[in-house]
Amino acid sequence: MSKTTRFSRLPVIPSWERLLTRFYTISEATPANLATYFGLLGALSSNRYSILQQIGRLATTLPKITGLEVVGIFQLCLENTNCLAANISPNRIEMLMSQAVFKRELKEVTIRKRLSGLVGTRGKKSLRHIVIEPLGRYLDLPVVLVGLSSRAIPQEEAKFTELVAQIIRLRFGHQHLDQKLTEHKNQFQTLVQHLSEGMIILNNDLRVSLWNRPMEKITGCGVKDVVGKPFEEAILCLNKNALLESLNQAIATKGADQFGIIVEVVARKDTKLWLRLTGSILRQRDGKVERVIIIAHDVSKEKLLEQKKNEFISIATHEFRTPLTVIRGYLSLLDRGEKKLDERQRRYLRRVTEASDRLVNLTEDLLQVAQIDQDRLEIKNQTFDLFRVLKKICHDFKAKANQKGVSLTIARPTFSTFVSLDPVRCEQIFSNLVDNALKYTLRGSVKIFFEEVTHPNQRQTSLIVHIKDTGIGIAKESLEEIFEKFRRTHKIEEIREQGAGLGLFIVKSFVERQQGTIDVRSRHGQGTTFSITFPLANLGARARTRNSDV
Amino acid sequence: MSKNKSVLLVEDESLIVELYKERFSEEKFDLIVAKSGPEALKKANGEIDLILLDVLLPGLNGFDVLRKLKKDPDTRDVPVIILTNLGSEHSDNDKRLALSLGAIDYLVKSYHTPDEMVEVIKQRLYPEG
Repeated sequence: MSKTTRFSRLPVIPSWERLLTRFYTISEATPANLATYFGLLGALSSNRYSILQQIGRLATTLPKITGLEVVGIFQLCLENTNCLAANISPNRIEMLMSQAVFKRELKEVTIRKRLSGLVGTRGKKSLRHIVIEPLGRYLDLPVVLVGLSSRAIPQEEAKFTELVAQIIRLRFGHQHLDQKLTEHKNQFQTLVQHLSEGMIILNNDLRVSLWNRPMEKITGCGVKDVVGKPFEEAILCLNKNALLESLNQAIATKGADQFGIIVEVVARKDTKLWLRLTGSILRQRDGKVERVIIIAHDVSKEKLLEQKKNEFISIATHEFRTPLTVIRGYLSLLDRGEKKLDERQRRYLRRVTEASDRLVNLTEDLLQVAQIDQDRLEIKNQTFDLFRVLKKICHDFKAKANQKGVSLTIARPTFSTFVSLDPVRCEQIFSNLVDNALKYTLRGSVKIFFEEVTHPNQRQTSLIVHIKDTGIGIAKESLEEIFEKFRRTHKIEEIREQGAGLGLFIVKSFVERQQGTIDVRSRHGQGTTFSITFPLANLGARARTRNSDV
Repeated sequence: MSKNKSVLLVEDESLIVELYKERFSEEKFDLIVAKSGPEALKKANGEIDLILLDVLLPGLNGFDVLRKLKKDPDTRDVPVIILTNLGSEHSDNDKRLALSLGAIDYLVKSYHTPDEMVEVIKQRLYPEG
């Protein structure tokens, strides 16, 4: 039929205005009717009612404003139909629906196929005409509107029925989307709220938009108190500046999408705790921040344990130092009167001095490690000639090298070796490495030489100090571990001298705190080379000119 | 010749006191010993030429003693060296605190032999050599 084809070309989701305009033009309804029509349309378009309420309203109102005598809305299951709403009693509508003709007609109705117009019927004689409009899906089953009339259904009424069906279809569509959305939302909420970690989401202006339950538990701050607040206000953090610096740096650095920091936080009842915050920055295409997702992990227990350990080390060091002062003190007094001692006594004195020296070094190393762990290591940069420092170290260790029959040499560089570093730390670094090299070299040599490396693209100059020995070397499998705490790679039977294995850990920490790197190459049985590189940032330009003035 | 210079050693550990006494007795300066914070304040006066001050002390810790010494007009100008086994000489919170309170130096006992301590004291007492 021509009118059906005309309306099957409707846009998929027509706007309200278009629906109404179309209704105006096709409607031959009287102004009085129009008000009723619009009343229903308005009611259907309202979001105040649930979809099932709307269906009920439709089933009862449609017969009042059209010639349809029976209106039922059915959910089509596989075998039978389920009446969602009707303007007559459930019994009667069931009776109607049991008639073969409806069954046949309804079976053919799918969500896409619209059946309207006049359909000859049998059965109830007065209801000879039928209009069926698909309404979409409810709980994943197709729903149809069935209107029955004893007289021919006028075109205008068929159109109107089609129109309201379209509205309901839209609502079902929305409902479906809403359902999906709610489903995803719930899943997300469940996930977020049941995480074992705290989670914070910041929106693009770094205000808190999500603060999950574990976060409430950890900090004692309710979600209502923090959502919408700027991040730095929401989290009562003692090292706030460090936190903001870390966050802002990650935001400002192109391509950086991660940051991590451990912060001390004031939580409920003024208790303090430590949180490890790991953040991911989500960016828009133009690189601007869209969201920041932060996972917070309570590391208070670990921190407390670490603090206790370091406190213990600090106290232990102090307690060790006092008797050591006395032992060394008297040893030095004995040493002054060495001439009065016989050869054997002198030998004993030397041994005891050596042993006490080792104990002193061990104590100092332990204290250094505690300081490194507590991040209390201070670096005081000044400009100086690194070559001079190394020359002095060489001089200091000459006696030890001679005693072992190992040659210890330093090559004078042809370029400036002025750096802006902490001279005391540098002396500690290189003394340790030279001492180490001598310790593990039984014959041959320990050579110190410098290398200047200019990075072609960055116009950067780095200074590398190599300390190369012909010692016993380090086994390949041990190379990675030598910088760890309490590691010593060499087998005890191979070497007489021992230490606590803290030296290289301290060296590496000192180098890295001064923006340097340390590398090691070694062949078991053939020797080891340590190479320490300090980047340009620490190579003072001022020093260079000063050097060239000399 | 004028009277001997005098050094006040504030130290509660008798082993250390004995060690320093042993070595310092060879020198020309007089050594006065105080074994607690309050005793140090009692014995300190304008006549003292140098104070070697420990930190962990009974009664009153070294920093508090230092604060009081610097408040008292009589002892304000007496140079004080913190001599302790706490922290480190290179950089440390304690060292910074000591210097900010007016100490002239911060030394760690175990780093220095009695001979070296004598050198430190002599440099302070007879800067002209």
